[in-house]
Amino acid sequence: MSAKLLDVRDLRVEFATDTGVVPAVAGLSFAIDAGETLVIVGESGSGKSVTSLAIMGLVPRPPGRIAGGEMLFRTRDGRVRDLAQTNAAEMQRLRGAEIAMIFQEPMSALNPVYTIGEQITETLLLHERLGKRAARARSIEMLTLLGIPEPARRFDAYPHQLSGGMRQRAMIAMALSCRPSLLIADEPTTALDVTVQAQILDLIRRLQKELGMAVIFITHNLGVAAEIADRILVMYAGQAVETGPTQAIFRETRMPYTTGLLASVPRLGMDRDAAPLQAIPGNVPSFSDLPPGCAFAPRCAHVRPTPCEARRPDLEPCGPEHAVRCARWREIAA
Amino acid sequence: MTALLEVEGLVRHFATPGGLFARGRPVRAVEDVSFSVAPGEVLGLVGESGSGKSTIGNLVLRLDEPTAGTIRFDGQDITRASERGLQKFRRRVQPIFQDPFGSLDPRMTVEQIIAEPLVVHGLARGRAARRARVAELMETVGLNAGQLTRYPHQFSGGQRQRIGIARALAMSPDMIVADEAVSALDVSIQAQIVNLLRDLQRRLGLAMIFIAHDLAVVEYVSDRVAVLYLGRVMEVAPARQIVRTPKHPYTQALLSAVLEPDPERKRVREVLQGELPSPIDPPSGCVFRTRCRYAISECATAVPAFRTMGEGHVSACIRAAEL
Repeated sequence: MSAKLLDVRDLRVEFATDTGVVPAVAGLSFAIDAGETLVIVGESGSGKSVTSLAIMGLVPRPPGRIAGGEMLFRTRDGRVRDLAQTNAAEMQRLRGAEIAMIFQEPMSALNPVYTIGEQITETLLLHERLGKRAARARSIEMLTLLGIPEPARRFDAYPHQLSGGMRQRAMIAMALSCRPSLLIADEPTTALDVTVQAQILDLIRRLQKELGMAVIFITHNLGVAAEIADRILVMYAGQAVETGPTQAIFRETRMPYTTGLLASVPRLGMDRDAAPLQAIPGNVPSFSDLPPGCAFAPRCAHVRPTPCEARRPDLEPCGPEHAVRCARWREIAA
Repeated sequence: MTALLEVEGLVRHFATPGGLFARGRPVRAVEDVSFSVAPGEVLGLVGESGSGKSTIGNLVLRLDEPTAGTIRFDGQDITRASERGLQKFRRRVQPIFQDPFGSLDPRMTVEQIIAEPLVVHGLARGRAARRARVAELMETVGLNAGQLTRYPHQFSGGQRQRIGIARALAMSPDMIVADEAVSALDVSIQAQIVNLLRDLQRRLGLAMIFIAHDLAVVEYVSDRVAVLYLGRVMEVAPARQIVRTPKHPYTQALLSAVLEPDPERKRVREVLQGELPSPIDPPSGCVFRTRCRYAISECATAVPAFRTMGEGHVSACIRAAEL
């Protein structure tokens, strides 16, 4: 039996489009331990959000489908289930109770016509068979835990009566009310102001420790990744292109794409007159016209016809728990 | 040095419908804001939601009417000018928005989109001349001029923003107002557009108001930065200085919240507590005092005057000297 909480192996997710079948996730493998924070970094079209939908069993079908692979999840009773093969009724039980998700836009998860309290208690009534009074007490406890002032009053508030930051907290309270062992956070701070983002990240970190849950945090923001990740997985065009412990990703960066991302972010106090920002040339690729070789080759400064354009490189070890999908990483590092 | 743009005592209140609590009191979006922009200078406006930065951008573009205050452009008061009187001004000041296609007809070709300001201002002298000008603009912003008959959806986000920039440059303006112009772009594309904006700004000697919420980007692009909170200016200073030696507690909190892509620079973060107060009923005196760790009772009595903290550096904090 796997000791991992979640072990994703060779996950493939496809979408049918007008122009043919698009492999949004094309053979992705990763694992996460209980209590660990894995940050998936990627730009638009990298497949990072589709990955989270696949774990939640929420890939819209059609046009999407899970075309292959396993997602082995250890449930609370110690059994291992393959989420790729789990039926809808069982997925519904796992969602909320053992795996929860929070989103960038809380209004997409909150129902505008029900109060915050009604929505949190609904989850508890559904999954935990608590009585109404106990569910209310537990909901107010969750709102308190999330640092929402006057929780008893906010319990009766409607989503539109709360600020963006408070809505985000209410959504997190809803997601965590059943104490899931895995939280998937898809860009939960992207739409927030920086000072509110700092509050919410502190909060997620604190709750993670208190509740002992694992977090898969999806973001495009390397600053957020540096702040909260134990391990980082960088995605490009539906595949992992570099993965490793946070320190290794930032200190011994091996994938030219990751290097490019790090160099393209302006930093406070940098000397702008020394040189322009080192932008990655070209555009974020679309799945319909990926090159046969390395997907990053058309934008890479280190590209060579062979081996880069000949075939798609494998994800290979390049350090302790550190792997890279680059055929030339040894030469580039030297 | 004479200012190209001078804004004095700018106020914008929005009416709210009478409700149970609000009783029709106005939202104070912008409150007594003054600044100037010299020719060729980049002024960054930074702040969080509710700071008034976008409202100021719209007022300066005269897309919105101020409640009070004056806006002078190149010595002329344009605050109450009619649309006719604004014609010349509109040629000289151009906007760049977050999504240049959000409000545009997807059935227009890139050529039509870029040429539209020329047509509107009656400057499109003949089809061939217009096409040549559009091609030239496309090359300027790094687009392939062979694609001028394509439609917006055929371009990526970064290319669309290049088209938005080309359109803004069509009138050879003296000033650009860029409102969150790079915020929605992918990380790897954002740097391309930041470099392009900065390169064009310097090459063409453009003045610019650069509005964004990302302090590192604002610092990188701007010569001077004004930090806004709840409709008021908290601090103004040369860009490097405001980052290195901030003299307002809000600027300090904002800087402390910036996440750097470097796991070893996890600072002891000073997380700003509490919520943004309502702009309908802002705190008396200093509007930041309700969340400020340095607040004392005097902060509630009067709106703090600007204190000079150095060359071109002012802070609206009565305790600025102690910080």
